[in-house]
This record gives sequence, C-alpha cells and structure tokens, in this order.
Amino acid sequence: MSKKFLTMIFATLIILSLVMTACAPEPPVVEEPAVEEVEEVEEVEEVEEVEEVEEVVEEPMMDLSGVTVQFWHVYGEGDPRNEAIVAFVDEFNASNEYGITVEALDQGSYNDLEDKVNAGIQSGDTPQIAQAYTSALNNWDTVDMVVDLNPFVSDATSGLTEDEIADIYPGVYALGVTPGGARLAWPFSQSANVMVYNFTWAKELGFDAPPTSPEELKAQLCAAAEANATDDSPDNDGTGGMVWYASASNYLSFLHAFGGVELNADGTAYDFNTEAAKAAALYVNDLKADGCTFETESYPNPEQANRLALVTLSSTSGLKYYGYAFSDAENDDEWGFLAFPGPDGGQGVDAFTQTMGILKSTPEQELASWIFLKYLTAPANQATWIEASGYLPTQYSTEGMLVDYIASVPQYQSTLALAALGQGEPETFTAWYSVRRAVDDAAAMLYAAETAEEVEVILAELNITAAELVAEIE
Amino acid sequence: MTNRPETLKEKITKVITPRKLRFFKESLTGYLFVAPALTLIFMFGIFPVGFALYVSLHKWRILRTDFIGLDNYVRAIGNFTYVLAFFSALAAILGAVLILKKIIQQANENSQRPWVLCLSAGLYTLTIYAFLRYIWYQLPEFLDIALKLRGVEKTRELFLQFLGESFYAPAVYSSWRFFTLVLAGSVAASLAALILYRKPLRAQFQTQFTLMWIALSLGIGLFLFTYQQVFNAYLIALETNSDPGIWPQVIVVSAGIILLGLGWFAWSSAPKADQAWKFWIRILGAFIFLVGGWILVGEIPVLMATGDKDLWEGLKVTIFFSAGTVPFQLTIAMFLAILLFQKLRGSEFFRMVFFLPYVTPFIASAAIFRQIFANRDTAPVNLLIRGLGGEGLAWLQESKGVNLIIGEMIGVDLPAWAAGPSLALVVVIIHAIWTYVGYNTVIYLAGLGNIPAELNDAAEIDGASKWDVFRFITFPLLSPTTYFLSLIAVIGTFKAFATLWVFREGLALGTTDTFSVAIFLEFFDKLRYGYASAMAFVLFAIILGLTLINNRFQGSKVFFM
Amino acid sequence: MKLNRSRTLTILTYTLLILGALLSLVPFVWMISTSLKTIGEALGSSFFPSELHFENYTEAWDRANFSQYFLNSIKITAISLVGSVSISVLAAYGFARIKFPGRELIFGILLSTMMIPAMVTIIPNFLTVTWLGRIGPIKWINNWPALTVPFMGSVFNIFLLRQFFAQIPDELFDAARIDGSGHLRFLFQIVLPLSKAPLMVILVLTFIGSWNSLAWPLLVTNTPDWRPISVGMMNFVTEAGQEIHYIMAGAFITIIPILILYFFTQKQFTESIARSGLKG
Repeated sequence: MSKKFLTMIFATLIILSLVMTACAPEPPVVEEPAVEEVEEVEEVEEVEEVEEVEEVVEEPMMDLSGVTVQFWHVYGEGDPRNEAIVAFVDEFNASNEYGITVEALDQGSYNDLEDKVNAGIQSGDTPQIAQAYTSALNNWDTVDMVVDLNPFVSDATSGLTEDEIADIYPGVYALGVTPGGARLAWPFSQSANVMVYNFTWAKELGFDAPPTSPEELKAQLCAAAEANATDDSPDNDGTGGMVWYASASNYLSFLHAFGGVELNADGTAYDFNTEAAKAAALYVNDLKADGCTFETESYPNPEQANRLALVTLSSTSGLKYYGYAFSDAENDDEWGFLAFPGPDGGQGVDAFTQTMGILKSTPEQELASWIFLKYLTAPANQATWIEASGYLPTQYSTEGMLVDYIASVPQYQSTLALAALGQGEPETFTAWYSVRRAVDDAAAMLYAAETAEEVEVILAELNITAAELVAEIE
Repeated sequence: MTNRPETLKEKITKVITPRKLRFFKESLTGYLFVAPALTLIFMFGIFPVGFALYVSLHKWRILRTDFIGLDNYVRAIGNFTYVLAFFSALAAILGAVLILKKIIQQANENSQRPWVLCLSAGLYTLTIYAFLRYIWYQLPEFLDIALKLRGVEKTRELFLQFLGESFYAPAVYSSWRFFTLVLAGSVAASLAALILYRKPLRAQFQTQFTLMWIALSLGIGLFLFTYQQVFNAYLIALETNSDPGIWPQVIVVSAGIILLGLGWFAWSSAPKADQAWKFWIRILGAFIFLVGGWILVGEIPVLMATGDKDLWEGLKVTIFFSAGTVPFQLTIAMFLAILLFQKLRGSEFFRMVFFLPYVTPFIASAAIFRQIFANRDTAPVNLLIRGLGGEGLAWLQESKGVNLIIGEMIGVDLPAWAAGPSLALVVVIIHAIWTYVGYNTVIYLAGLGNIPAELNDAAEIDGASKWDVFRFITFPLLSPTTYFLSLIAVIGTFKAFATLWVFREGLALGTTDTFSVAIFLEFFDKLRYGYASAMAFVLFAIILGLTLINNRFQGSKVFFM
Repeated sequence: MKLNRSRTLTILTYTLLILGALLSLVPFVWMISTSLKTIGEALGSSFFPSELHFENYTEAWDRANFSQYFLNSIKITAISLVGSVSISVLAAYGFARIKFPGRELIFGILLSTMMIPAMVTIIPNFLTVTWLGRIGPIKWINNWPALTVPFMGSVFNIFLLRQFFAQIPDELFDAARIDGSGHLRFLFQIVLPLSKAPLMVILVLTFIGSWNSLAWPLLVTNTPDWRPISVGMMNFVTEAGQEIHYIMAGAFITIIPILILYFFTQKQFTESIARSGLKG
C-alpha cells in the first residue's frame, strides 16, 4: 500500500518539477543582461563622479535651478537659534541667483541627529547638509558618506578667494581634515565651555576680583555655600557653591586648566591617566567633600539667577538663557563668564566648533549645499547668527561687525577673550565619538570617587576603554 | 471515452467531499481573517528579529562588514556560547525524537500508517530552508541598494530598477529559482497527499512531521555550525599557541547538566518507589547526582567570565529591578484588592484612583517623580526625610546601594556585597510600583470574583478566622492570577527601557542601566550594531527561559509542543 | 462587641484605602501645585503656592508649541485606532471562532513576539518603512503611515479581543448560523455590539501608547508636522531645564486628555482589563 503511495508521489513530484523547469527558462533570458546592467550602472556612476569633480573645477557652474537641499540642524522648536536658522534659509531661498531651495529641518539634538543619519545611511536616505561635530563626520566618512569640501573651496567660480580663506581662524580651518587630506567639516561658529559667575554676589561676599587660581575659586565657592547655610532661610542650605554637572566638557575644562591634554605625548593614543587628570579630578572631589559643590537635575540657570549658586558651568551659547533666567528671577546682579582657573595662572576652556558636513548626494545637490554653506558662513551672516545665538565667530572679519553687539551685551565681551583660550577636543581618532561618551561616564565616576586610588583606577580603566574603542575602528 | 468526464467528476467528488469543501472554506475564511494582522506582525515583529539575528552574526558598524559567526555571542557570554549552542542543538534533536514518538503513538492509536507523509513534510521543510537561503542571499542585495543610491538622484524609478536588479543577482537568482522549484514541489506533494492519503488526521501528521524535520535539521545544522566555530577558535588559538580550552569546558558543563537532569529524575521518581529503602536510595542518588551536577555546572561562571562585564552588570541591575518591583507590586495589589473586594461604599472610586497612575503617560509621571525625588533639600521627599530628622538624599544621582544608606542611618556597617540596588534604582522601582499597582489590583479583583463565595462561607461557618480563610482559601485560589501577573511583570521589567532611559542620570554611575539599557548604549553610543543584536538575543533567550520555567512551575500548558 | 469589632475593621480598611489613594494621588497634587508657583517657590520648600500663577500654563503651552503636537497626536491616535481595531477584530475573531489548521501554532508564535526586546526592531523597521515608502504610492517617512501602520498589528489587542470573543456563548453563534448568517455578519451584528468594553480598552491603550512613544516617532519624522506630543514634551523638558514650574504645567497639559478619556471610559475599561487577566 505505502509503496503505491510512494511511487505515485514521486511520479507527481517528478512531473511537476519537470513542468516547473520547463516553465522556468523565461527568467534566465532576462538574467544575463540584468547582471551586466548592474555592473554597468556602477561603472557609469563612478565615471560620472570623477568627471563631475573635474567639471566643478574647470567649467562654469552647472545648472542648479530647482535643486532642493535638505539641511538638518540641532536647534529645536522654541529655541531662538531655530528662528535664526529659519530666517537665513528663507532669505537664501528668496534671494539666491541659482534657484536653489533649502529646507531646514530641526532634529532636536546632536545625539538624535546622529542616530537618524546612522539609520539613514543604512536605508539610503540622508540629508544633504548635516550639522555635526567632526567626530560624527569622521564616523560617516568611514562608510564613505561625506563629501570632501576641498574641491569646492578651491573652485574658481564658487570657491573662496585666498583672502577669504586666510580670514578664517587657522585653528578652526585645520579642523575636520582627515589624514588623507580630505576636508569633511565646514566651520559654522564656535562656543566654549565656561564658568558663569555672579560678580555682584561675590563682591558682597568680600571678593572683589574673580578667582584666578583653584584655591581662590575654592575660597569663593565655600564662602558662598557658607553664606547660604548660615542665612535665615533653611531652604537654601547645601546650595551656594558651584553646580557641578559631571560631564566630559566640564571635566575636560578642568583638565585643560590643570595643564593636561587628552592624548599622550606623541599623539598616538588617548591617555587620561596623567598627573593633571588626577589633580583635576581630586580638586573637584575636594570641593565636593567640603560641601562647596552641589548637583541639579538639569540646566542650573534658575539656581544661578536665584543666588543658589555662585558659579554654574555652561556653554557660552547659554548666554541668552541666563539672561532670561536673571530677568525671570528679577535679579539685577552683574554676571559673566570666566575661564576655569588652574594652578600657576593656567586657564582652561573646552572649546567647540559647530561644523557642517555635506553628505553624498547628486553633484548638483552637493554644489548647491556648498553654495548655501558659503552663504551661511559669510562674515555678515555670521555676525547676524552670533547676535541671535551668542556663539563665537570663526572669521576675523566677523569680529569687526560685532562692535555694537558687544557694546550692548557686556557678557559677550568676556566670551570673546575666553574663546582665544579655547582648546578643542582631540578628535584625532574617529573613535572620539564613542570615547567622549566613555569620558562622560568616567567624569561621573570620578566625582563619586572618594580616594586618590579610586581616581587612578577609574582613569586607568578609561584608558583601556578608549584604547579598545580606538582599536575597533582605526 | 464518452464516460471519461464523469469519472473525473466522480473522482473529484470522491476526493473533495462536501464536508471537506466546507472545512476548506472555513479554513480559508480563517486565514483571510487573520491575514492582515499576520502580514503586519510578520513585517514589523518577526522580520526584524530575523534581521537582528543576521546582524548579530556580522561585524556591523553603521554598515555591514564581515561575517564573524558566533563571535559577538562569545564576546557577550564567553565560551558559554558554545555550550549553549550545543545544548540547543541537542534539545532540538531531542525535540525531533519526541515528536516522532508522539506520531508513532498517535498512528498506533488510530491504526494509521502515515509514514509516507514524512516525505511531503520533508519537502515542506526543504521549502522553508530554501526560503531562508533565498533571504540570506537577498538581504545583502537589498541593503546594498542604499549604497547604490548614493550620489544619484533618488527617484522612485531608479529605486525600483535597483530593486528589480537585486532579484537577479546571480546567487539570489539561483536561490530564488530553487525556492520556487521546491515550493512547487511542496504544493504538488500536498495535493498528492490530499488525493492519496484520504484519512483523518492527515493535516496533523503532516504538521508534526514537518516540525520533526525542522527540529532535526535545525539541531544537526546548529551542531555542525557550532562544531565548525569551535574548530575555528582552536585554529586561531593555534597561531598564538594558546589553548582556548573550549572542549573540556563543553564536556564538563554538559556532564554537569546531565547529572542535574538525572538527579532531578531520581528525585521526582522517589515517591513512586514501592519500598522505603528504594525511596531512600533514590533520594540519596538524587543528592549525589545533584551535588556532582552543581559542582560541574559551577564551571559556567568561569566560562562566562571571559564575556562582557557590562552585560553581567546589566543583568544584575535587571534582577534587582525585577526583584524590587514585582513582589512589592503584587503584594500591595493583592492587599488592596482584598480590601476593595469587601464591597464597601466608594470602592469604585478607590479602584479608579488606584488605576490612575497606569493611564498616566510615563513622560509626564517620570518628570513628576524626578522632581519629587530631586536631590534638593527642598524637594518633597527630602523635606519629609529632613522633617523626620534625617538628611536629604541624592536619589536619582545616588549610586550607593540602598542597604548601605539605611545601614549608615542606623549605624550598621554592611559589607559591599549586601549593598543592594542603588538608591537611584530604588526611585525607578518606586515609580514602577506606583504605576502598576492599580493594574494588578484590578486583575486581582477579577481573580477574587472567580473564587466561589460558598467556599468562604463554608469556612467561616466552620469557625475559621479571616486570616485562615485568606491563607487556606483565598491565597491558593488566587495563585493562577499571581502566576499570570508575575509572568507579565517579570517580562515587563526585563523588557523595560523607556522609563529607565528617562530616569537615567550620569551620577547614578550606570546602576540603573538594565540589560535593555546596556543594549541600547552598545547600539547607539558605541555603534556596535552586531554586538548589540547578539546581546538582544541573549536577553530574548533569558526571557524565553523565564517564561518556560514559569510555565513548567505553573503546570499549565507549556508553550511549545 | 462583635459589632464594635467589625466597625474597627471597617475603619481600618478605609484608613488603608485612603492611604493608598493618597499615595496614588500625591504626585498629581504636587504637580498641580508646583505648576502654579513662581520659580523661586518651585525650588523652595512650600508645598502650596502663595499665589496661583495660571500664566505658567499659557507660557508652557506656547513655548512647547503644544497645540500642534496635540493635533498630531490626536491624528496619529485616530488613524492607529481605526487600523488597529479593524485588523485586531478580524484576527481575534479568526483565532477565537474559526477553526483552521495551524491556528494554535500561529497564535503561539504571535504571543512569543511579545517577548522580543523592542530595540532590536528599531533599525530593521526603519528600513522596512523607508522601503515601503519608496515602493508604495504614499510617503511613509515623516507621514502618518510610518507612525501608525507598524503598530496596527498589535498582538496585545488581538489577545485581549480573543479572550473576550472566546467567552461569547456558542449558542449565539449556532443560532446565527441557522439564520444563515456567515462569520462576517455574525461578527458585525452580534459580536461587536457586545464588545464595547474591550474596544474601550483598545481605545485607551492606543491613546496612551501614542502619548508614550518616543524613540520611534523621532526616528521617522523629520519635521514637526507629524511629531507627537511625547516628542514635544520631551523637548520641552530638556529645554526648560530646571524651570520645574513650567515642566509641571507641561506635564499636566500632557496628562489632561488621557484623564478625560479615562474618566469617561473607566468602568468598562477596568472591567475589561480585569477580564484579560482571567485564563492566562
């Protein structure tokens, strides 16, 4: 019985598979050319790209009318910087002679923007211009996603003149250049991580001058903490000193102030296990142990404005927000920015350069993106941007246009001086993107550490993590 | 010749009886009803899992690079990966044998001889594998389209063109053709089976045979793959002249697990012994086996020590979170449910109030909790503590274990291992309890409603106290509800991510980073997509294991088979 | 004596219940009270504001642009609801009342997907959604499909409805059968009118889900045109920093719609949730 079944099933199977193979030949006819086509397309693509680069250099502009460019930035709704960006884009769209349309889309934060571009690289949908730090751009360059800006910069018709290039701060202009010489990032503006200081309150506490050494800083912070602890109100006990937010930016600022750097002597690896790094960590721990620092859940602007903190730490771009906070609290105190004071007159400022990258798209879109970036960072526009944002310029000629602004916002004056002290973060390795997050974690651990030994262990472990992350990519 | 159409018709009606036709129609309707949901769940629930599995076998940083086999898993849980893989293979083969046993048993019971169906089932299995093979080749082609779209205008036509071409890449095309071929074979085979094997239970036998084939081939395939992976590991080790020691470990742990199994078997068979000495012999044997088993299984932590420390840290936090949340949540809920069940005036109002936190969006409630538990001395909870004479705490910014803090307050020095969850995690736990107590209460109320009132009445007439009624009637009869709720809650705590993320503070020093958060950090901070996916599968395996254990204890239907 | 004892018991019960209710409610009360304070008071120690600053609400409303986010969330919820209900009702009915081969196996597989950690699905789903948008006639990214369609095939909803449908007496179905009505008619004329309670649950849960989702909407939207209230609230929390009086006002604004919905549906909602827990 089962034999009969078997044979019948096999027979049917064989017949059917025969039928199937008989029917199948149709697709194979298509197959051969299709495979070739794929290859062809790839080839053509490559050739085109090469040609296009030459074209840009030698021939007149390609036709850009009707080209649309997506520009992702990090300034969320309700942020005055968002409004400023929108204004720039509107003006550019209305006035540019090429017919380019730029769409500015806010993605909320650097982290969100980076996550989205990472996802977009996998799906094939990325914006043409992305606001990103050079570490993120380096990351995207490892998967060949970022356009080298050098050909655009040196282009005869749409590039920059020698003078214009020389106008950019050399340190800033050197940013975002890969070891291979490709320029991935275009500087937009700068900011610095600084101390916000209440001059009026410090004077009332008996300090006529802002602190210039760690010891002076400690004396002032502890005096402020003491003042809040001994006044009539019990509510403000435990406040008064410095609001410490354990982050990479703040820790690295103190590191710089204590004369340290993040790399080893020959710049071949990250090295956080140094005397300066230890001293910086121990100094902050000492402040904490004496009750001269405290922590908040979020941006401590209200604390600063309500005399709950003599010093808070902020990016210089927080200028406007501090202004709002002081007027909200109806507090007329004089406040301003300071560098992190170090021993032997050292001053530390962790500096950032906001940069933009152009991600690979069509030749037309890439050129259009460049034209927009050039427009956005032209000195006159940069001056407008700075007035709206409180950021720092990247070009000498911008400074001259800010005279009136500086006169009207006293705090900004000090910002400019601080920017000169600014020391950028070492984005030598692509892994800085991840290493920086490890430094963030380490900063928190350092703050919680209680002994010098613990500090050493944490720094040694940070070194290992950093080396691991570097090895993974480089 | 003239009567041929009639024979055909006859044949058709013989094969396709009205009853079968009705069954067929009913089945078709059923499939049509569930089709839209299945399509969506396949697309957004099952495909991603397959995709993640694919990712986890690669080195993948933003984009796919090399295929690296089990390396990501080894990185996560060390050489335990191999033991686990071998045991999964073994379990699959065992499963196949069990299914076969069941088939034989059912065949005998119904005096059928379904062996021929084994062939068609084999073909179905082959079809499944052909499909998976096709996907394996197709997926990279799909993914590469993103790269091809670079530097060109992204029109729909171009995308469709690339998409079309991706079907004709050589490997894809041949695997696709092979798949359609076996698919056609399968259809033919099932038709043949329909015509030739006209007995009840056909569909059931076919399903069982297919499952058997799948389990068997999966087991053998996994075994061979793991063997090859171990072999590769040895090859690499050879270069550095080191001994990875995988085989001894695999053997030791396997022996341990087998001993444990034997011990359990002896233990559970002891009551069946007919004589006292046999009973004690079995118990003794069970103890020997168990002790030996545990000693050998004790090798597992050694195996896993080479894995990722962050992962174990994450698992520890997850267990704290789970153990801190679930028991309290359930106890409070049961208590409240019993209070509410007395049908007092206003109980509906109370039920509504208790349930309120459950419907509150966590983004809002987390923002509120962050402020209530702020580290300021003037924040509500700190005010309360200070009012009671204590000192304000840093709560979400406190990485210190809660037991240590309590110890300090009452002046007891506790050792580090007794630290318990960090204070930061305690806040998250309190938030979780606050959120879910109402939900659990409502379900307990329903469970209480299911307990026959006569039981309580009878007990009270017998003079039982309220406490006795609770202990001997209410509590045991609520246990199905308790099992259900604890399962849901434990799975929930293992999967929880969003709230933990919103509560995350740098100064908590990672003490609130559960397994899920650790996966997220690997994924988005370190861009280790492959490794993060492997971790996610480890988590999935843990959740699955917990569910199976729970089902086993519960004694109700086990999920598979 | 006996009476006295039961009376103390009742009082004790009430005390405990009230205590529980207070613990449930205190966060809400504190939220409302803080939302009406000045920043100085909010950082201070008084529980109640000295003056009621209702303008905090208008300030929060404007700064967070809640009007647009609300509208978006309501649109998203409505679309998800329509899709989710129609798909889950059909599937749940199929699993509960139609016999077809592989039914239990398929349902088991569906249930097991509930155990999958969500973050592995984010990137693949993002790819799927992008692709569907490229192939299909409508845009998915930055449009309603990406925000709603992936959540329409909700296993939990199917499970909930299946539990309910399975409890409908067979006699009803047999009677309908004799009248000659098929599955669809039975579903629409008899089953659905009986299923208001579980549908309420789906309504409320879909609502909450859309109020709670964070990572996914952020990934699939590029502009505020479709970003839901959760994203708006999160941005606002970050932006407002320590200005907790505004944050609490924002939190209350975010909660209000769900509270209103819950008060109107709470009876059916809680009862139906209770039912889902029976027969685990």
